[in-house]
Amino acid sequence: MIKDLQELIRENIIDTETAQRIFKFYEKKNQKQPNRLVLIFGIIGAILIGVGIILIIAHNWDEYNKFTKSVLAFLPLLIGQASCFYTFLKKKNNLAWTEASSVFLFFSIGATISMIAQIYHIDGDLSDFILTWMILALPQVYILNSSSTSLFFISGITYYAAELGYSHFPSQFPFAYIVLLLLIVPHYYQLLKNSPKSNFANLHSRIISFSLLITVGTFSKSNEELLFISYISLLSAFFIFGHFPVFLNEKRKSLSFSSLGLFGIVITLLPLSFGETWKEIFKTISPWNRLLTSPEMVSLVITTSLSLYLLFRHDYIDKNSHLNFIKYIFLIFPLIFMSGLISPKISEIIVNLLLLAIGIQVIRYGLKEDHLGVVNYGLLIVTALFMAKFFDSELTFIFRGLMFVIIGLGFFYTNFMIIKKRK
Amino acid sequence: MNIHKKIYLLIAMAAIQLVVPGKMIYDHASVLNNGVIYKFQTEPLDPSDPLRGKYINLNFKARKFYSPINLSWKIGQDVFVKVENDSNGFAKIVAVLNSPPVEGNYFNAKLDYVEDYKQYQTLNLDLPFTRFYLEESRAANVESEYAKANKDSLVQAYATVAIKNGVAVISNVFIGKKALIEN
Repeated sequence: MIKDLQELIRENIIDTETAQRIFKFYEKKNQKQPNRLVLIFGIIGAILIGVGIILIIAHNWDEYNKFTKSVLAFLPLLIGQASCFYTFLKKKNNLAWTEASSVFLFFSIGATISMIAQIYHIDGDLSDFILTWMILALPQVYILNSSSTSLFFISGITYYAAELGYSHFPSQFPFAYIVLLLLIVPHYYQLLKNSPKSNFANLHSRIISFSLLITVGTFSKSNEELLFISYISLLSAFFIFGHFPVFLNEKRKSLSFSSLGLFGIVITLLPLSFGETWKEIFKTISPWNRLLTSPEMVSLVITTSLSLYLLFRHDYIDKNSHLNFIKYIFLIFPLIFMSGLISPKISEIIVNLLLLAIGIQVIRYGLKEDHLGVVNYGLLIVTALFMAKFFDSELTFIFRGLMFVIIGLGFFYTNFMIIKKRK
Repeated sequence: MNIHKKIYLLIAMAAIQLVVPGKMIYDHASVLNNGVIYKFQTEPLDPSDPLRGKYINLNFKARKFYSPINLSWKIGQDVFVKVENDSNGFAKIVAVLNSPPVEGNYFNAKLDYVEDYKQYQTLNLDLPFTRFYLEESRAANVESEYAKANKDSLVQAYATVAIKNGVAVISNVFIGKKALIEN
């Protein structure tokens, strides 16, 4: 660019003043935009060293006495803190320094606690260990403004929740997870507000959505059936949130909140398109009065309030009118669920119709947008639904056969139409 | 937030990050130094923790407690275990309680599971000192030594555990007269 500027001045296309202004503009822009490669390698380096120290410590050095070992245990922590102080005082605006030193401090906390657990043979729960670690690391996210620490923090609390809810005996509800996740929300909000297109904002959206999908299931004991409602509410919340203005011009759409929400809703509804699933649900479910006080109710209330809140914020941007009805699915789904009490057949039929409607609307949207991928995605939804029916022995062979022929023709027709339209 | 405020917060954060592990050390070291030492006989029973290294799993005879009265317990609940020495000088559980005993030594544990019988119930405890960390090269050898000793009725295997104010910290494991760690 600078070389070009000199040439442009020589050829009298721009004057020296303009050239200087252009030069200054790019200089300023470069300062704002840190070198991405340095940032990435800085973080990876810090992770590797941090993990390496944990492994070296796991060797358990027998030749030292308890006192020496206790002093050594603090070494990684002190080095991490010193590098964070140095960064804060001398390299404050250097993103690579900030992230690398904060990530290193993050891992050194874990290393120090591990080493003390070894020295004193502390037989604590893995979940307690991770919880202590995460609480100690949380302030780094805000004081040092480190987004990679925030990403590790979210992964850590998810691990904590999964450990406590899925692997622990007796399983416990990870209430601390909810509090800690709420504590990270301001950081995510700042990222979305200040740099919505940055990699960090993107990674946060992905990791938060996966974290929520993993942990909703930990709030269950004996009425897992209710989790269907929780998951539909959560995925609807994703779908609605994905249509907020901040995500309007998102580049990578494949794992965005809205497509993840839509995909998840379809996946959750598919098993419910079988009559057997509904019969099973109502065979084992507890009486209603006991359901109201069950732990599943906690996740159900939280996820439904979340989607209600997002729905009534009216920030929803109407990108594709064909799919707008999906944002209301979480409102009608509890009714579909409860109608199974009267007859499982009713719920089964409604779910089948709902899946068919979603599939058709996705196809229509794809046709309107002239997007072959979306059209075929819609066709896949319909195919999945029909595949499920393939195993439904209640339907006659002729009916099932006809369904498949129709969907096959549909594939040919829509793809042909789009390609023809493009020509 | 101005820079001075942030520096204070940074110092506070660093202090907390140092104090919490420091307190872990202080708590456990004070039990080891001032607690009453009990010998818990072990039973035969091995593993590695990805983060914390190699350790041997200890299984204790005192894991089970036969309670003459049937009480209702919740699995996984915290219990207070009262200990005394038996005539052979080994630790023996004398009571499992819902609240800390007024006198005598006790430690906190978790209730693993309960077996109910007509006349009594068996409380299976999750003792807080079943892990003994070793240097990775020694762990495998010690494990087999430990397993052999526990099968051989002539060799006594036991762990020394310091107990104070409800906290129990394992200090060493003996196989016969040999201690697993010297310092």
